[in-house]
Amino acid sequence: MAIEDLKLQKRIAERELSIEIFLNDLQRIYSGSLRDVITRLDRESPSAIDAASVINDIESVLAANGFGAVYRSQMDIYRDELLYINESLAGVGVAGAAATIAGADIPLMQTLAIFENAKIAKTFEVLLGDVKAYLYRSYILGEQIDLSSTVESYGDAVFANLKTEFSTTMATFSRTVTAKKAEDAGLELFLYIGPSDDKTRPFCAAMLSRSPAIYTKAEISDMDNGQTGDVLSTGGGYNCRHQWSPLTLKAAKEMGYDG
Amino acid sequence: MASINVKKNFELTEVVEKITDKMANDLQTALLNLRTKIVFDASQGKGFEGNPLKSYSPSYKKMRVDAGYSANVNLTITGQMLRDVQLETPPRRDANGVTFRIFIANGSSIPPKGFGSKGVAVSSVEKAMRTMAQRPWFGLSEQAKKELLDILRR
Repeated sequence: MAIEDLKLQKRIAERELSIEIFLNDLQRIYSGSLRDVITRLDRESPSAIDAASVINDIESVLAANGFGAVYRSQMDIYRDELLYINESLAGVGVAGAAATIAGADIPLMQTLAIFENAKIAKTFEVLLGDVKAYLYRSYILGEQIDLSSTVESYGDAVFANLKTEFSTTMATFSRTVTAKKAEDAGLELFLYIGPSDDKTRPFCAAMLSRSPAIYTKAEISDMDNGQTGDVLSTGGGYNCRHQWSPLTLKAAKEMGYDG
Repeated sequence: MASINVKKNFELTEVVEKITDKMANDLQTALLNLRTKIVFDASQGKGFEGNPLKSYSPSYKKMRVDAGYSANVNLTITGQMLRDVQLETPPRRDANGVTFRIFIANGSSIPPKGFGSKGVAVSSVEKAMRTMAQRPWFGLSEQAKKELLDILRR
């Protein structure tokens, strides 16, 4: 492995690049802030106008609890990594750069660029709008606001979706890279690889039911997983554990393919 | 902890007078096939030499089954580690010659609760190093070496 590869690997490994820690921290602060707001409504029993003011102030509560700081700190890390890699590219030159970063974090780098700041910001903007509307409506109607069900309805699902989105983005990138290499090599056959267990969705089970599970690129382009479009890149859809792996006709025949 | 002889199973060096474009293309194609074989065999519980991989421990097997995963060895929870087995393109050219490489890209995934390292995302490289210590699934088999050398010696 070239010296530059090692430097990049080491640098990136040194970072605690954990999306899960990041999302868990945000979720913890969000749930805590929601608790603070609901507790205040319960304790002070403000008028409708004052309740609106308390609820609208949720962003201040989030900020006071460190939401913005956590959010910015992680995004800063990702941005710094991308800047560093771009500097390496500029220093080495295009041809050399491609070789230098080939063994490094291209997948992570690209995924972080895709899993971007704007997407998370928009997700929270919508979430906060929804939870404010729910809190105000419930308060005005005199309904008891239960913290845990509020967090569950207006938080847990969102954070679970963000984690799913990250995992799916990473998986899609990996499949896309492999598909590109197959295209460059002129390979048209792909083997569907992955588990068959209780978690396997019907689409993937159907793909695996062919023995061997080898399909042409044309067959794959006609497939529809009902979720995420391009099946060669996205497999069975969200959280899909499977992949398409290219092989020559000769290798396919050795596996029993009679295409 | 098992030790891994890096050179023996991971590296093949051959000196040839010249690498023609056809040789390079044939090698890249052979390596794409090899990549598929390594990943498929691992997903079927086989090592890079075709031998069955060591079974999961009873407790881990139970944990997997309880969570809906297969009890059979397939080195898969999220699937990201096997997806991150990649072929380097283009092959690297420097003063030493031309290097063709299959490597494990440093993607990461968020495993479900109970399957990660303290519940955080784990890089594919780290996962590969851990799994290889007990179940050698990634490497260059004797058969693969022979096929690659045949291309170089044509």
